[in-house]
Amino acid sequence: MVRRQIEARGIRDKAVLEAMQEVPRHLFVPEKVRSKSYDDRPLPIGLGQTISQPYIVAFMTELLQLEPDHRIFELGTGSGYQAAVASRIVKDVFTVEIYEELAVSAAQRLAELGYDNVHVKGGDGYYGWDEKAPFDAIIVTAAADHIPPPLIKQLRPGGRLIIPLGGPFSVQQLVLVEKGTDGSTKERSIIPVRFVPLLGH
Amino acid sequence: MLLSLSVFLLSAAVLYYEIVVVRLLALSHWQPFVTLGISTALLGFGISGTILMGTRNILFPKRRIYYPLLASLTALSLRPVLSAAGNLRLEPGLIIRDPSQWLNLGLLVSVLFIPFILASLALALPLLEKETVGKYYGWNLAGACAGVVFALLGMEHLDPSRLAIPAVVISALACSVSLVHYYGKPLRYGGLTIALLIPFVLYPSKPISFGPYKDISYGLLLPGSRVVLEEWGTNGMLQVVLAPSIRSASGLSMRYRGGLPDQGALYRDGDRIGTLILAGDETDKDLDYLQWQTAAAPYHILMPGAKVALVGFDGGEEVVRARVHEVARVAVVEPDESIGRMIRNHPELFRRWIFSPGFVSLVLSDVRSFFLSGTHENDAVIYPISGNMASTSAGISGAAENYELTVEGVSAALGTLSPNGLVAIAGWNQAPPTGRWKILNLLTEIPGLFKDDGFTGRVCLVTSWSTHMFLIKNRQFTPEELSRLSKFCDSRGFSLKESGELATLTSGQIGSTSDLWANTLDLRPPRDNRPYPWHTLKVSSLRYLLGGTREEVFPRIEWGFFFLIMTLVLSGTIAVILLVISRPGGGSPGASIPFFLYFSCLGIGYMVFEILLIKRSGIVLAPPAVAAAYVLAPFLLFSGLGSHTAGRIVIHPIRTRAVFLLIIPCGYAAYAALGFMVSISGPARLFLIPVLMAPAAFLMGMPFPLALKSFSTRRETLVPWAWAISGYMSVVGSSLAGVLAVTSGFGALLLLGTACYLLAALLFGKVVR
Repeated sequence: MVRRQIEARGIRDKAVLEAMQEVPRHLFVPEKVRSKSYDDRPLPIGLGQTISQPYIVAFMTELLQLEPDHRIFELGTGSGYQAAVASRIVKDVFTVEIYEELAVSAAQRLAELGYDNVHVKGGDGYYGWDEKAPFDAIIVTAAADHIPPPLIKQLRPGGRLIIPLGGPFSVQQLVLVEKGTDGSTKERSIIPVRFVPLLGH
Repeated sequence: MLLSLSVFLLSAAVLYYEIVVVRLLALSHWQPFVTLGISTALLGFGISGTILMGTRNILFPKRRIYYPLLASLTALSLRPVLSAAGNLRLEPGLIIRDPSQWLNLGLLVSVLFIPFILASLALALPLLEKETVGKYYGWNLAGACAGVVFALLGMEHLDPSRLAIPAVVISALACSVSLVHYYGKPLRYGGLTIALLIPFVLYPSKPISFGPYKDISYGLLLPGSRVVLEEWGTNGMLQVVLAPSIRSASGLSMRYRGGLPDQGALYRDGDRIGTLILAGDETDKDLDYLQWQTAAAPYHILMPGAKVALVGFDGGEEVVRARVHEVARVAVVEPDESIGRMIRNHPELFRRWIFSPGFVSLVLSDVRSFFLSGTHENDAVIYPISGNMASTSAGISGAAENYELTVEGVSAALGTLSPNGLVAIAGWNQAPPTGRWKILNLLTEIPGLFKDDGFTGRVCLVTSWSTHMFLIKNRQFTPEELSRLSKFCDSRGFSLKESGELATLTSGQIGSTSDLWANTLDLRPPRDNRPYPWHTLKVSSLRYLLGGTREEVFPRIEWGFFFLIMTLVLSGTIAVILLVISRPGGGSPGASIPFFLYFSCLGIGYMVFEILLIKRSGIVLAPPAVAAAYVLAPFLLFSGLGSHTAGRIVIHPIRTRAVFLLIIPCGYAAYAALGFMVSISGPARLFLIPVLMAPAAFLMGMPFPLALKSFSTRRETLVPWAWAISGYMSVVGSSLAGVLAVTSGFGALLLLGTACYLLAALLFGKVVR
């Protein structure tokens, strides 16, 4: 999967490639779709949510330019796969999931698999995780119609935020926001993608 | 007389059912997909002709048994069929990548076929009687007219889960009346019918379920979500959902650091159409975000105390924005009565001051009439962002008429402005920005805005990362106004393009030639005779859709147009196959090409004119469901009268040809007159529109029964075959009319309708020979 779907499509960051190789995607998907775990596409995980396409997970992770000492925030834990991949590169991953059921199962799964530096909380990720802020990077794994202002606030100057912007069932733009040292922000569209919606938008 | 009444009732039930099925399935699927399903299912009318060709010797002689039997089976099938269709889990968005979805579509169509085949098989039986063909065909059309009226009443007064019940009752009545006609004994058969019906009427209905592609499916998943308003009417189901995590702020500046107020989400048929700003604290400080969106741009040109007209209320967010920017009054033009009811009946959903006397006036009217009425002079006319980003990007509305964003529509808005006023048009950013290009091309057609290959200083464009707003002034922007706009954009991280920087784009200029999608966009400015501002995909793009990879194709599809093409291809293919299968043997007069062409022309020509007039009526009648019903009902009624009259007149080749030739000018006149209706007051218009339809509709009801009446030999073969051809071609004609309207405009429909009736006039002599 990593060689054909990810490396071949231009992902060069060695840490990302190693993380993608290390994390067993099949353990993050429901039993009934496990045979398709390494297909190049998103898969349903229940409650209308999906586990992202492996390439997109790698691509978004690479865009964040993560370092081993980074503390990052993820909005939308889902199955916990993206958090698990990021956790192989950074110091701490803080992730919030609006569906309590998914949050509990992801926390349990991550703990069982030994991803001790991933901290899962059930709740509304729109407000980030104020007590743990600021973050060196923020990753939003569901589409929204605007960037939640609390997330920009919780992003450390010099940090990066990646978010799919747009609506459900349509092309969304993966937008990268860079926060300057003076607190100003600069955004740019990267590629069109498709994510399930960030609930509430 | 009783059989006529039965035909009338059964026809009413079928048309009522057709309209209701479309409305109900629109709750679980995208509207264009529903059109695909129901259009294909209507081929059932043609199929009944095919079946009748093989079974006429059994059914017709024993019609006193089969007519009531088929009518009762129709009644009994309606609700189970609707339940089965609603239970089919279809994913229209996967149809181009998942072959199993074609199977599901086939199942949907097959299920929907059933009542249409049964009913039309019954309705065809009386037509086999030579002397009464015109009479029964007339009652058939008049019944269809009643079905439209019943459907409007039903949708206004009945809960959706009970909406199919009147169709069951009306068709059962049709059965009952026919039993009395054939056997007498009204009490016995009336009682029997009622006894049979009871379980089918009373069995509990399932609650309406929304499909996975509907926005509301996600809204209802939100923790703590609750539906606080549910209004059902002719224009669909209006719902308001509240949940703590509902937050919407399209295109919000990334420099905004504040919070958002409590919001509600407004849905129509499960699609999100607006945001409600709920009652908050008295300071209204939580409304600051409204100044950090591109939609705030016009207020940086306007002076406090300005008078603003808003095109549509949606959830009222734009009214609140106007208030925050201290305008003096807002006139909201809203064509949808259900929105008006929501405002009147649920003021608790809005901030109290929104509706303070003298600030907001809600004008329930179509937008064009409002502009042309001259009752309001505006400092600004604002077209708020329409639909949502998802449906815009996916092109769900690509094949839907919109007379507000046409060259004539925007010109009318400009005509209401005060000397220094402006028109503001909001939109979503797309990749590529097709919607923006289309509006730019529209603006080039408006006198005074574009000169010598460049925009005059009257147009500006403000863009955020996801939304944009065009500002079009009545006179040139002053340096001071531009400076205010520039400050607004700088502080929010938006970009400002002034007239000199805006260029029009044609398909040929887009992208590099290496782009697979270059030259595949239809960016012609929308006009009243082709009012499709969201349609941007050329038919020639289909070869790319067929040849591209999934990743290339999926994001580019304009679903509304794609399903329209699919409807034509699918219904056309099925029709051709079934026509070939059911054609009569070589020796029959029905096997002749003129016979086939004559009834094909009638099927296509009738639908082309009918659909043309329905589409055109959208300029003065809104919302679309009401417009369609308001045109369709008188059209069918007068056609019915025409058919009835045709049954009584003696066929005379020259006079009959004159009927065909008169249809054409009458059709043109009705089309042209609809355009003039905008300058006529509401009540007079409601009276005049049916009158305008009358001559064309009356004459168009005549050719079919005139030909049927003329068959002196082999009637039992020719009538079912004519019924089949007309049934199949009506469906093909309506799909073809939809595609042609989008691609070539209403002029092409007029030409096609003309060609069909001219050809039919030429062939009439050969058919009746």
